Amino acid sequence: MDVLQGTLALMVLKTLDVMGPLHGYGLARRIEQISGDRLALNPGTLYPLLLKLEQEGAIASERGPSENNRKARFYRLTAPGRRQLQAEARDWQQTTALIDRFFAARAEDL
Amino acid sequence: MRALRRFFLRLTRSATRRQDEARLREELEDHLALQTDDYTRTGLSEADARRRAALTFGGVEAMKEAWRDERRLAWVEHLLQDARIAVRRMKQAPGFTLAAVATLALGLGVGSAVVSLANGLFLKPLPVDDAARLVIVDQTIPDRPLTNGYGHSYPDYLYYREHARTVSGLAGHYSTSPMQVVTPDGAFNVSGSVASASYFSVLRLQPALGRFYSAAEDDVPGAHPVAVLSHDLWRSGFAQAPGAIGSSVRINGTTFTVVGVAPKGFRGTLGGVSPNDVWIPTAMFGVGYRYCNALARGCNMVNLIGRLADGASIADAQAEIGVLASQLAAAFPGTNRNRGALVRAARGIRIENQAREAPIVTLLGGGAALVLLVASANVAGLLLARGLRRRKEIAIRRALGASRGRVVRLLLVESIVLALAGGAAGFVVAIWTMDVLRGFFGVSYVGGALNVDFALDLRVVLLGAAVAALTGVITGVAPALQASRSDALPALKQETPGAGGRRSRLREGLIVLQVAVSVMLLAGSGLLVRSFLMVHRGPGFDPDAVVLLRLRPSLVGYTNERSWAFQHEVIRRLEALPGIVAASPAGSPPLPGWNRQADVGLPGTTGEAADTLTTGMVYVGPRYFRTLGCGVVQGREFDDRDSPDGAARVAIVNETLARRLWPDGRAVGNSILVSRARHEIVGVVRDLQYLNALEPPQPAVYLDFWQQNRADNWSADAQLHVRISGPPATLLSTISQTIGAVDPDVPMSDTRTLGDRIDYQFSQVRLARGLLLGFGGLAFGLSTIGLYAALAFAVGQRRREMAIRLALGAARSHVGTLVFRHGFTIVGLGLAMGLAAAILGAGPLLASLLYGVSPRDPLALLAGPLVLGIVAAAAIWFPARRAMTLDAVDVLRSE
Repeated sequence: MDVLQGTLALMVLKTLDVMGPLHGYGLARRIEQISGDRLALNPGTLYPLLLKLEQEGAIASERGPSENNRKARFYRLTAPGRRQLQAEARDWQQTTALIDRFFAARAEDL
Repeated sequence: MRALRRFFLRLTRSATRRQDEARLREELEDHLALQTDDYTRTGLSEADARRRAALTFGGVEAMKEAWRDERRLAWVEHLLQDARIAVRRMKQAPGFTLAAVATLALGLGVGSAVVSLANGLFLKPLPVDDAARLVIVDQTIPDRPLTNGYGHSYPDYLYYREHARTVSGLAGHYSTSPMQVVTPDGAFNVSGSVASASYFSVLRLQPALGRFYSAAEDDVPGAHPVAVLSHDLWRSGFAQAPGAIGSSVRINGTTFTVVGVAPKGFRGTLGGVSPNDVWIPTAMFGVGYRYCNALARGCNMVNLIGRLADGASIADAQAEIGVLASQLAAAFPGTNRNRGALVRAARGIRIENQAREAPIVTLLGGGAALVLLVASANVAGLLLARGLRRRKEIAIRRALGASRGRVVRLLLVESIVLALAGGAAGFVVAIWTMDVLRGFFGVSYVGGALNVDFALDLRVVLLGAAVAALTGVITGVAPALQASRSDALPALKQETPGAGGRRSRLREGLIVLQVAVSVMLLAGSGLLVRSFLMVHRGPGFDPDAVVLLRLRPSLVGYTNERSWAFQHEVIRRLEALPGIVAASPAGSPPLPGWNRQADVGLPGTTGEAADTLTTGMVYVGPRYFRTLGCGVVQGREFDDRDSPDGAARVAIVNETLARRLWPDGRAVGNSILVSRARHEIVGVVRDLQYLNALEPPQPAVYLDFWQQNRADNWSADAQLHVRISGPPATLLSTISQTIGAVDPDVPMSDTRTLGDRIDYQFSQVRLARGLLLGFGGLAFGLSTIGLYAALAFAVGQRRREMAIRLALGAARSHVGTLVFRHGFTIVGLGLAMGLAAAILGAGPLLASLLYGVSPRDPLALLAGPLVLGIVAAAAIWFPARRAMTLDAVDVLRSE
């Protein structure tokens, strides 16, 4: 299943929020895991997105040692990123709630 | 905010073009390594694990592309790429580049110079703090132009200063006062200003040394003779010594104490006149202005400059000061009836001078715009031709998948880069041109620098760059569209496009335009050349043999009696000198615009307006016409018989006035009333005026200088005319020594030959002639080259067609005729259009600059176009000859 435009950023932010700092590969794995392997993340989508988020100031990154003693770039959520996540999560919930009402609607209810 | 931050990050990365992809590579490697680790953990061999990892990873190049797109702005990147290609192409074709850049540099540079001129004359604010809030308040007089900048009386100024709330400060000044300043280092004939104490605070000036005078020192008339010197005068008059403060100087015969030195570079608030070197309080007005009591109502000599109060606009100030003016008009109907006030921003030179310079600056601007048009058309022609030569390259780009838009953008960027280079080189041209223009607009008639700043400022540079970029777009757009349209296949097969077609019609249209504009400019300059020749021939005497000088004994407090004795003595000693033919005083020099006016009538009539003629009137001394070297037609001129105190007042009339009053009789011996006083006519002289083409000769009457009313303030000073036989340079110093021997204190100024004065008086004609000739020559050169290039190119394109014609038996002369007909059609169209435009436009545009020449003068109009036609024929001849000498077999074999 493809990732809906714009929702991948939200997933990245939320994952970093829950899991703490992660490297790109770990982030991809986590997102796939959380989605119950219904998503397959293309690195070609992920890394440019990480760059974009970093340029916007939502995340920051630095090099550090990974679990099996490799070096990797770790991404973490910044304070503006956390605020952005909260705002976007709220928007998302409102949108889905709204869409749900439409799908639940039957002719006789109206 | 976020988007903005990202935009700037990407912009800087695009601009610096850091190819830093290390981070991406690092991320990819980390990702692969981690994935491989995962696969090995599931039991795969090392090699298989790496293979699977690479497989799941996907296309690296596409990923790099996406990454790059995130890093920077694609369009900026592409633009820079195009610009780099453009610069590379410019280097590849240095000849073309040089021609195009030089052509555009001329067109843009001349324009920048005229813009810089207009900026200095009309727009620049004063060089003081927060000058944008400064306003000037002029008096308005019914039926007089608003551009005359009339001053107010001193009591009116005080009333405005007292009651106006929309201005936070109001200063009064009179800034064209001639001041003879005697300092320890010598006597200086400078221009000074009588200014209120508030002048310095309104302008927010800080003294370079000492202090400015206070309001208390500007209160009681005559009580505080204190002066502020300019930095320049402090340097030349006091060798920049700090001891200047507190020392005494004599200004126009009155002793003043120097209290301060103005900041360096400040030369007064009045632009376009001689810069100020001295400031004295308004309470000392009598020293700086002598013709009416400047502190009395009705003597409107005070110019006002003020600073808008916080929050007030010019409209607010106009509303309030307008009301104050009507209050004054009601309270003092004798002096202020119907007078109003006009508030305007303080920018540019003095408003009268702005009005005087506006027409010629407009003319120059029009000329510069036409030159730019010709230059642009020329470069567009070059680009079109180059587009044809680049068909193959463009076809390849298209074949490789570049969209037409992308190709157009590439070509447009090329022409914009070309134009920007031209614009940059144009500033060098602008600085040269500005040096020429400064010689006309920045110099007074005696050669002194005027208070005006023409330096290029940021606004001019930015405008120049914007015009250059726009020129790039305009010259580039048609060639780019044409070139990108080309069909890939025939272009790749190297087929030559046939003759004719839209492409060559566009080029030919551009040449017609260039020829037309050149003809217009050349015809206009032809008229001005004729006009200038008429000016020099006009007076009918040799103006270079007449020296003019201005003596002003009244400045050093001479009474009129003493001044007359002084002038008689000066003339007596001068006429005794070898090399001097005659010397005579006059009220004004024989130049247009200097005459006073008088009402002339015949005796026995009422002397009312209906029975009189308004004529020019000049007081001239004995032997005046001999001094000018201008013949007396009838009777005699004034001589020593005409005693000042004799009962018989004498007059001389010019031919026009004589004809007007006695259409068929002798004038000499008759009497006329000049301003109701009876005068006997002793002589008739030739019309001496310079004539504007559109005005008939004006009647003039000459009265005896020594018979004028001695109580008249003006009579104390005279313009002395001296006829010399010999080189002016050596005699000028002898003359000033002789006068200095009579009284060294009397200021003598404006010493020039009449020829120099005429040159200055007609400097606008001279300037317009020079520049239109220059512009016309430029346009002419460009269009001739353009014509030659276009025809040579057309012949090159039609080589095959012509070879076939020749092979089929056409005569060689026939092929030549084809080219000639082609060329002359273009030139003929251009000539006809240009001449029509010149005839329609010259009248209204040049009328005020034409003296003794009709705007439809055929000789002047046709001379330039004729030369152009001849040169154009030569430009056509060479390509035609090439067509006629074609070797048909060679051509057909080679294609």
